[in-house]
Amino acid sequence: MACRRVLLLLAGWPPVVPAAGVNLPLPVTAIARDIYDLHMLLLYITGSIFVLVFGVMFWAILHHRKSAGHQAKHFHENTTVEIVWTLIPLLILVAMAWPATRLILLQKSSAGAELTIKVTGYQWKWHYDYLDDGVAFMSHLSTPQSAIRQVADRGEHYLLEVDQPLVVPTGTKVRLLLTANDVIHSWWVPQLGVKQDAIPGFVRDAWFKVDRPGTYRGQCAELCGKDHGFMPIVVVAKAPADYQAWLAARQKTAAANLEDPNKVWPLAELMARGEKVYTQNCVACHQAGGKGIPGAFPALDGSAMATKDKPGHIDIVLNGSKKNAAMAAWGKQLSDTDIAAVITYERNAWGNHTGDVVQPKDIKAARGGKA
Amino acid sequence: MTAIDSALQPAHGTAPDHHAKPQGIGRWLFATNHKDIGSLYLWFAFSMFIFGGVLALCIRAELFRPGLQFWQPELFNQFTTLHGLIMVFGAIMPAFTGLANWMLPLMIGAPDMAFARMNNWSFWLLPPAALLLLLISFAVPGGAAAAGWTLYAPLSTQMGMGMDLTIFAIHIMGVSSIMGSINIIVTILNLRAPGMTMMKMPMFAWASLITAYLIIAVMPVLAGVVTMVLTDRHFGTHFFNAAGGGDPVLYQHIFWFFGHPEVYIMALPAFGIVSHIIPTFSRKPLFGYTSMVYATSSIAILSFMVWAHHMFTTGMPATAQLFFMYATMLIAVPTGVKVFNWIGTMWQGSMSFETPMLFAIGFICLFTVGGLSGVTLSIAAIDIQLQDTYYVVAHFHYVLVAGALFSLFAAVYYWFPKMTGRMYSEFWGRFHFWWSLLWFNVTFFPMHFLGLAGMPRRIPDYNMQFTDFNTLASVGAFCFGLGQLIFFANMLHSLRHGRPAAARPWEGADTLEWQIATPAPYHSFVEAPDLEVGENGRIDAMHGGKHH
Amino acid sequence: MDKPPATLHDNRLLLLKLLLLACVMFVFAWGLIPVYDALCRLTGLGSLQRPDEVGSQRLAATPLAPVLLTFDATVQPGLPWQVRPLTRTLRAVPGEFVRVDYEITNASNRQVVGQAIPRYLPAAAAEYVKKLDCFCFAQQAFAPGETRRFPVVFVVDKNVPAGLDSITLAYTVFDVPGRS
Repeated sequence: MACRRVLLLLAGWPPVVPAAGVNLPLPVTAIARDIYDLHMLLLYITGSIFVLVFGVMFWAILHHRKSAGHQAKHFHENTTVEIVWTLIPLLILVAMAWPATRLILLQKSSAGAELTIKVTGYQWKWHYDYLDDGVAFMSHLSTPQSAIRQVADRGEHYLLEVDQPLVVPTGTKVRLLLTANDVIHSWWVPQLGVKQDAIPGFVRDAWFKVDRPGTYRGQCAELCGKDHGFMPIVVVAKAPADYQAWLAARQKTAAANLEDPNKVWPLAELMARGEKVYTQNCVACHQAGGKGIPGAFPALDGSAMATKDKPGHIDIVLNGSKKNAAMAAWGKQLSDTDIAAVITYERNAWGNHTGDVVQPKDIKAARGGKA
Repeated sequence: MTAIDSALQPAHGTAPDHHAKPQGIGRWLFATNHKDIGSLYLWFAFSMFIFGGVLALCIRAELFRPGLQFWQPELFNQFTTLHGLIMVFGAIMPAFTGLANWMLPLMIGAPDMAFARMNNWSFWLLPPAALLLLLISFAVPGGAAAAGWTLYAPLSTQMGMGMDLTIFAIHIMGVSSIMGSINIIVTILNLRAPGMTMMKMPMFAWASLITAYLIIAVMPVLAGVVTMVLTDRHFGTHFFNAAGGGDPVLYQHIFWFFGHPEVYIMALPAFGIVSHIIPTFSRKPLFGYTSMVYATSSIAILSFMVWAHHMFTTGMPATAQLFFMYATMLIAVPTGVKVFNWIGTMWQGSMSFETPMLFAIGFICLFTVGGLSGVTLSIAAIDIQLQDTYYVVAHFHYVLVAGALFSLFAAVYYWFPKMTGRMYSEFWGRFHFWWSLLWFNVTFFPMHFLGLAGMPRRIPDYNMQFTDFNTLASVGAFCFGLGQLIFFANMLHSLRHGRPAAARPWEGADTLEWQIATPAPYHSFVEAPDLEVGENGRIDAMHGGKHH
Repeated sequence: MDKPPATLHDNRLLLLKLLLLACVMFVFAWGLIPVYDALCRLTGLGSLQRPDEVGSQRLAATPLAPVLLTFDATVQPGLPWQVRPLTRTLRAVPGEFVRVDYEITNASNRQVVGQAIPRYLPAAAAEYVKKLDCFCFAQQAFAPGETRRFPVVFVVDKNVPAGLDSITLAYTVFDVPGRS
């Protein structure tokens, strides 16, 4: 923190110390703690090398200058010195490599996990699947677009908050199986000391064991397209008993939420649900007012597709756009009810007053056409 | 003996009227003179540096405070992508080729570059490529490429037409730099004046030679991998698509097999330049010339064995991580030798601190900061935390801005008298240095803290905890950018109105280019001189030689 | 020592040689295809789609420590299938035959063809899991709405290194374009 104060003072900044750190965040797993310590060790070693080497150089600049009347000596090699300054760095490197090797082997030993969670990266959200417990959900950014676009109330966790965090028990070795649906993403939570790329078509693993309950935040670390900066990760660690309670509650709601696919929904209910789905999935491109972004993302408000061509509308939401890769195929990610709701919403929101109601069974029928 | 014969034969025929200095636009369009082509390269590189710099300022403007103020995220990604591509392929690489064009024949006593017409072609390929990247690709539907300068698949297979233009531009620039490299290699190997043996060549010639070999080795690899992206995009191949048996990580392996030597393509010529300037202004020969040559070669060879340290988070087996970590750490040894040699050169010298020397010392200090953060990053266990964060952004800007760019400024100030026959303004030169030094550090030093604290790179918006350092970096970036206008004004003004320069304006300068008139005659060394040469190209005696 | 200047004839000859070289390179590139095929057959690379040779697995003299096996499957975009293992984890002694079932449902109303590719964690485990039967050996065609169960039968090689005590078998299932 002292370093930061000095720096800010130098730049004529008011000497305030905000919450942000200047170092790796507080580690909460053994691995993250080891990384923290190893980084500090390297910082001390490289710092001393820098001070030592440039101490010598600045001493020479001060004393061996022409304006100080110094005459140049004409030596231009010294084998002993050259061998010494090749060997010493080599020895320092060996000293660094030793603890680093030990830590790498530890990071890679994912055996003996007590809980396995499958993590799938989507453009631009994360899907978590508790393989053994039948709980699975999508985790979206929960910061509203209004906070991003205007200087509206930005909370402390602006851009680092999600609707449904990953919940894990403390003191348990949790293993993640990582994969991706579209492009490469990277699952990163600094305080856990875990960063692992999620690669489409392949499976990778990573593990962590959290010491104490708390909420730990991270972000996608691999450029994955437009909203790469807007797919955070939140991990909530709970004591094992609390975790079991959370899991039981989750399983209960999951069972309750199994919807009857043939239920016929009234327009108002579909609109309410559709607005929620729209805000989570569509608003980043098509915008809250449905106007899109000219040149990049088409408007829905008043568009021919959202007011007239109903089969085309269902098709593009289910299967994505052939022309614009940014329009994903939502058929894999959303339930029939969600898709029915969001299409109904799009056909009745803003200036679109078609009065069309799309029911889940329509979507089910449309899935048969092509997927 | 071949060297003499070739040197006696001007590379472009002996028609008597050919030696008149051509005039008008034709002089540049049909240029075959190495000095003209060198100047073209340098002006091109400078204008690309300005374009790339404006893109950087667009990025920094958006990051000045949290929230989206100026650009949509997609456009922001286009800026970061194009900033990287333009600075690497448009600014730094052509600038070094331009300097090599200007200085190599003068340093080794050659009449011109070996292939004068190919030289013309390799320059004139660049403007169309830049046009494709800059003007056209922003105008096509979907905008410019937005997959980062690394163009990772499968993200790059998702992009619009801008990606195809980028791939085409990379092909063109690759062809250009390969031809430039062939020219450099043939010139150095065949056109040295008698007495200029390999182990007495100036360090800049050595650095350019080794760099040229690196370029020839890896540019085809880059061309290959972007072509694979192209066929994946349009011709139904599945190199990087798992559904067809491909592997997205394969892209990264091939790309970084090019990408890591590329880092040294941008650093080795800088090492060469600094190895001229430090001895000149220390009035003392370069310390450890032989070990410098060996260190440069070993860096070049090692650079082919470390590529996967860019991919520690892709989930490699532990054995692969360990191999690439050890190999990467090993690069610190020859790099350290170079830094120690420069300090050994300064030690017991009689130093003075004109602008080129200031930039060279700035280079050594700040490049070493980048080197030390590089050692930290090479530790795979720590890299897990730092990969794809602002720490990496800080690291590579320390080696590329304070490294490559500062050495280029040093070189331009150092050779400006020889190129133009006039001195630059020393006051504004020093001002440019101190101004750049200050704001460079204000911009990039805080990025180490941002990366450590957890800010990923390539994001258009960030959490409030990162605000202060980002604001600071943005202020620094704008001031740094402003300072480059001082450089531009100084150069423009001195070109016309600078004090006339002596043939050897620097007391300690002893390589061949300082033995001839200032400004350098349009056709120098039409007849090769007989030289007695010491280490690092020091000329002890010169007999004969003729210019036009 | 002065070389005579190149004649038109010399230049034509050089051009001819270079063109010939380009042709040879082109033919060489195409000629590599059967070479790669032969190489894969010889080394057993790319043998994902046929059963492994098991050898004398059942002759393990001393009982080995069991290996923890985890099963998973991921369906890639474009394939309207649900694929799930009916067993999530089990412990198997190396040398012992293991059978797990996968259930695949075609959730669409059309015929769909898919292909599964096995992935192992750690990747080095691939050579120690000897599959005798697997739905990944062939493309699978599914009628609209059809659900089928497939057995996966395999042996963990008794030569499995002691440190390798947990293996994940995760299939990635792809759409086969043009067949659906």
